[in-house]
Amino acid sequence: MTCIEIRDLHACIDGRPILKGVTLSLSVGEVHAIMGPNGAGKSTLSHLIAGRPGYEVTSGTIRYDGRDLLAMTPEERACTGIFLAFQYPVEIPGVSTATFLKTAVNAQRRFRGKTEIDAMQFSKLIKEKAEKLGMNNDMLRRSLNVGFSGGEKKRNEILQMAMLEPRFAMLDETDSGLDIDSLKIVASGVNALRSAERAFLVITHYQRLLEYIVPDYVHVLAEGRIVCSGNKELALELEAGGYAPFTTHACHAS
Amino acid sequence: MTTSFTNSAVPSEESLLQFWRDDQANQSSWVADFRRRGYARYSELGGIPTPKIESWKYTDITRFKRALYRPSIERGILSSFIWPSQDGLLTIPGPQFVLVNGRFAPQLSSSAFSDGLIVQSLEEALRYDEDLKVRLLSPEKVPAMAALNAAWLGEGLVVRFKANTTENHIVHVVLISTNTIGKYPIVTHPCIVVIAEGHATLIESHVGLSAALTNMVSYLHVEPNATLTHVRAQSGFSETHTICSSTATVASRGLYQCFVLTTGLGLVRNELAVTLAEAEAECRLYGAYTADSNRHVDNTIVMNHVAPATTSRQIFKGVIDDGGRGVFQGRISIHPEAQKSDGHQIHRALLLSPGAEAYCKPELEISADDVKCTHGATAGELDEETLFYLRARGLDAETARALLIESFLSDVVNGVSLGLPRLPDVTRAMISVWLAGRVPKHEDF
Repeated sequence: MTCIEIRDLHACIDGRPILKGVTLSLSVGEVHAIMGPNGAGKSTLSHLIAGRPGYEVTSGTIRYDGRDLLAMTPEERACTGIFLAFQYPVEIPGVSTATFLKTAVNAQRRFRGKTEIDAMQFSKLIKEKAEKLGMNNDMLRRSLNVGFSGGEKKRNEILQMAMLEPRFAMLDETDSGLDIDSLKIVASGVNALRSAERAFLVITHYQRLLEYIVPDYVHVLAEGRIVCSGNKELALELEAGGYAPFTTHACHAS
Repeated sequence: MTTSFTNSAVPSEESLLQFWRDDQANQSSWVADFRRRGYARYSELGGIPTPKIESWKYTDITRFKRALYRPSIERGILSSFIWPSQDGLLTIPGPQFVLVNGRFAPQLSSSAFSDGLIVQSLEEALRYDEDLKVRLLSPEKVPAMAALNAAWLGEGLVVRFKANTTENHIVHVVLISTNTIGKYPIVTHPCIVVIAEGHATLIESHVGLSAALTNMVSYLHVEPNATLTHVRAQSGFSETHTICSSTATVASRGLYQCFVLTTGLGLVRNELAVTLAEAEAECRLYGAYTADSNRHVDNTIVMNHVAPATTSRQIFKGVIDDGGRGVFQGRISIHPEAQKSDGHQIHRALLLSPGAEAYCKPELEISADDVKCTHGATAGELDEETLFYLRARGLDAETARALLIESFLSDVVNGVSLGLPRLPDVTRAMISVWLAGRVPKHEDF
């Protein structure tokens, strides 16, 4: 079942074209990886899907579960199951990770017409999920991401994903700045969430992450377009040969 | 028709003379002399301060010259009142002493107070308490608004905390401004004197229930080794304006710590002069305020380090929305004999709209060479990146802004309990009330 369908998407930032005709379709149960050189538009694509202000879509469509995604506010997108794990998660002094997450969980529950989560139940749930990501109670009580290492911030993103249980999750270079142990923990967190009800879009520069989060499909985004799509073998090919062949020629790997 | 008391906030000489004649309760020659000296000082300084005076550059109160105000002369006018629900400070246990339009209202106040605590109306105390007279600054030494207060001397309260217990005495002083008769708003001149020994806490709530101007003076004396914790909360009706001139004197190893929370009232000026008079005296000041739609909040601090090894900290944060104005003037003055002293001051303003205004004027005057003294000031907007992050987690734009405002104020709110565990919660609740009441003026992205 198609979860998200992007058709011929063109988008600009400050009048500068970044996406120049992206077409991509993901079904639930699938994990897609997007790779590509710096400046290709990978992060732009994920932020645009999440609803970041400042992008101008000049043509094309995004359908999300049959709805016009581009007409939805960022919070509507989040509340209907879109999640973006940020490459640079923000810090919020004075608001604990637990308080922040409870606010987010309840905002989403209210949107769906559900009652707020019971405080005891929430506390139990978050501890359980945090423990699996190697995050202790102290981290949940500390101000959101303040004084967290790069790895801790990324784990925190995965914790939020686990608590919010999105339908379509995007990971924007979650592997950047991670040591190998953190990478494994983050990957196992993602793998635990893989399900027939959920689609993933994993954005990365490096094949390494894809050894741990094995994708069903790999796409190469270059110069604002998907220039090549294939299975997980494509990632290995990219690792060996770099992006150069894909930015100038048509794709032959699939 | 106007009554003979109808006047502007600036009294004419006749109205003062009439008040002095009529005020039967305060007829001692000492009081009469003090009032005359107060009025002489006020006149000598040119009356109500104008923005031409440096320390009043950003706060223009000359409108009070034109507005008609009625001095409050009636007593015992309120038999009960409904406490505004947004102020949760009274949930902190402790006896309550209420001033209605500056006058002590025993019928609204606690009668039982513990050993080691003496609370009296100022006019009563002036009759018997010789020591009190030296606790007031001479009218010749005070600025214009405090001199005007001196000309009306008689309203107010004296709170003496005695050192004979180790217990933290918590006392509530509630100042209510309400107009019960006549069409003119009232002007009041309360004077609050606090003498703290031991471990004392004063929770001062300013509540505006109708149009009024409060021109208050307070004298805070922190005796050797004593701690005075002072919470001042200003909330309520925006037609109520408050000008407070406070003087705190801290003796050796004494600590004066104060948290000023302003979430309501119209024009507010909190002027505070602290003198760290003896060695190792310490002062910590925290302030959180909101200003919006024609509300004006001014905190003006003068921190005098007069003795060696004295320490001061000031941290003030303001959230300013469309039409609001925040002013912070902070001077740290380190005198030549105040070696090894340490003064620090910071003011941060969060501007929620292009129509928000913040003025900050730090001044350091350092006349000793072995000291630490720093200041910092910023004014900024909510971070768009952070707002997007929160919305991408499902928070709507208003909830996201509220969370970021809470975060901005957190170091003065969460960080400051001042030995009152409920204070951060009460403060957060008062800020939430302000947030909920403010009309969203921002377009969504």
